[in-house]
Amino acid sequence: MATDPAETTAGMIPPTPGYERSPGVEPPVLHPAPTQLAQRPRPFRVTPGRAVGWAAAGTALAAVFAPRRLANPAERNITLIAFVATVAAVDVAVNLRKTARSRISSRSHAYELLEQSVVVDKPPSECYAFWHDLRNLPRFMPLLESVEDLGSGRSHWVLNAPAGVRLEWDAQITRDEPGRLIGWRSLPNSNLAHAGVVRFEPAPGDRGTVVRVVAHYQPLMTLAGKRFARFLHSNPDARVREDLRRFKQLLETGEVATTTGQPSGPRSLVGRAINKWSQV
Amino acid sequence: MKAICWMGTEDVRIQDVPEPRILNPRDAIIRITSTAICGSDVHLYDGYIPTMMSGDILGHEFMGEVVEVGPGVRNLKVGDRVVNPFPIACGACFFCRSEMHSLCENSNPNAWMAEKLWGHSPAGLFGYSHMLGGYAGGQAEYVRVPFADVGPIKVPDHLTDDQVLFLSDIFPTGYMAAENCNIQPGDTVAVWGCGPVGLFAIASAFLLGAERVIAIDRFPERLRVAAEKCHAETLNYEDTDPQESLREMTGGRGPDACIDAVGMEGHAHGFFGTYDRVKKTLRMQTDRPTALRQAILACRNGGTVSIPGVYGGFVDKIPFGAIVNKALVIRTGQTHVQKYLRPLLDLIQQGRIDPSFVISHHLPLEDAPYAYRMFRDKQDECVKVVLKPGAARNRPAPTVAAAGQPLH
Repeated sequence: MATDPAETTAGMIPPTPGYERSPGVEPPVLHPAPTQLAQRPRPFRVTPGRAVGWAAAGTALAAVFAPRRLANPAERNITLIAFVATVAAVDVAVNLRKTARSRISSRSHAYELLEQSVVVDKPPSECYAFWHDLRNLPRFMPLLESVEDLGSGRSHWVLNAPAGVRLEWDAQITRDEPGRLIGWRSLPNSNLAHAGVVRFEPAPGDRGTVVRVVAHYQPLMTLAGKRFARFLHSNPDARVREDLRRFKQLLETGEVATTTGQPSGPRSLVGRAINKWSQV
Repeated sequence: MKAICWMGTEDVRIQDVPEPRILNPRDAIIRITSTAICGSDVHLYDGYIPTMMSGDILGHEFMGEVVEVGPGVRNLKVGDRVVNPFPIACGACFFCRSEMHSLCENSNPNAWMAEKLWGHSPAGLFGYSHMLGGYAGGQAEYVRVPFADVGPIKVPDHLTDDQVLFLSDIFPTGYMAAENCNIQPGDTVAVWGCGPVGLFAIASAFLLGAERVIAIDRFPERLRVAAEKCHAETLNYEDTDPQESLREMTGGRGPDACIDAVGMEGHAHGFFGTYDRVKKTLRMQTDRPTALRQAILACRNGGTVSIPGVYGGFVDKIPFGAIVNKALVIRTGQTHVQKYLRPLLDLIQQGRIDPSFVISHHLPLEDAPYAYRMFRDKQDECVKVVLKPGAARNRPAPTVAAAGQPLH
């Protein structure tokens, strides 16, 4: 994998373990989305708050580390200013470096890798057939509003992501091996630039099928957003894992386990918030 | 309808809630005729099980009459009288087909929560925290039963509710605990805890061919039931050191199998009792494994320790060296109730056991707040409470305070 961004073709996904296991699937070319969902890094600015912080940190350090024998007030002030200036210089340097690095990463190969799998107690052919019928997908992917088959391996997808974000894209099937795998990628002008493959591998010991999804996608969130989403089990990895769980439930039991719509006593404010969130 | 809701630690209340409805094709709605408070409900009452939310309907031991079935349920019809198992199982996954129904992979909609705590998720349970599915429980007038074509078993009319109700949990739980001991003719089994599960473990150990069963508790009324109804020898650990007594009673060798029917809220005197209470108060451990420690130390070399008692999180000072060096077998798990329903119903029909012997109280559903307190504090010689929805009160409603102050 090229480490210098200049050597990487803009928008090309670096090779991944998932693709290495599937010879013939070319690393798909992703085009920048029209609405740039990945948040650009904020340019570094010196704010009053930051200046106060420098002063406080510099003073504190001076109190601890400044030589005790400085009796002259002028010398003491110069020492204090030197400490504050050093703190400020270190802070500016660190932040400029960080900004520069995130600019590089957001420009080129900042695509995220996702891999999730589940064992389904049905033969690979049955799992493949269920997934291949696009009408079935919203039954186990509740965020999907619709999937429309446009013919010749193309389809139009509408997804209602959390926090009121609506994503639309056209996808093209790039590889289709009945009973084994389906590969796809998003086409230009997508809200969600991504490429993926779902494999249906026979599980050892005749115990059904390992259904494995490997995908690359354009980052949707800032680092803080990602951590928060992971905490709530609502990041893309978790969403795909739950989709796979529901896929298994549908194939094995014919329905998706739920408690939505059952009675309960009065909920607390927190309880109502959690319920509301868990239904998006 | 009326339902018993968990509203916070030591706070259960009767609430008016909407009636349940069919949500999935394989659902059924059951009108509850009898429901019971389980010892594991006490862990919820005391706030030791995480992911409870105020407003959750409690109860996982219940039976009643089918009033509605979904289009996917062919083996039940409206009017059938059924007992329902507490784990929810799909009947189709790897674990269900291996008769490990309490490990069903398809019945917990919140499996991810359990995965965070335990690595993998077991089956969803009725009325037992959101981590285990968040299903509304059966201490109510009606309940929705998912996968109703797999769980509920029809019961004959000549058996009373009291005789068959405990097929839902505690009888199979005690039976599986005894079965896990792999009892051979001539074996001696020691049982910690003479609550309902412990009593059924004693009875089941005899049914499975144990020569002697030694029951350990500190409440005289419970030891009396163990001795009189189950024919166990009894040890009161307030009077004697159980380990020393068990050693003497078995000629120095120790019991062939030990059953911990106490679980996470064990009680002990002396150093370890204080140690566990302090650590638990400081949130440095979640469970108090008093009985488990004693069972491991008392068990004979190469014996079996069977654990039907509920543990939720982390325990401390488990003598693992004893497990390794004495080559002990540890067997545990939530009960695979579906597997035991038919054979145990047959035992009841043959008259080989009448599970109603554990019942100490019948109360109307509305008295549940009082009943929880009384059962938790072992007041009024309480062993097992059966709640009847719609039963008339023949006296003024007892208050929670009437159940008295905690003993521990």
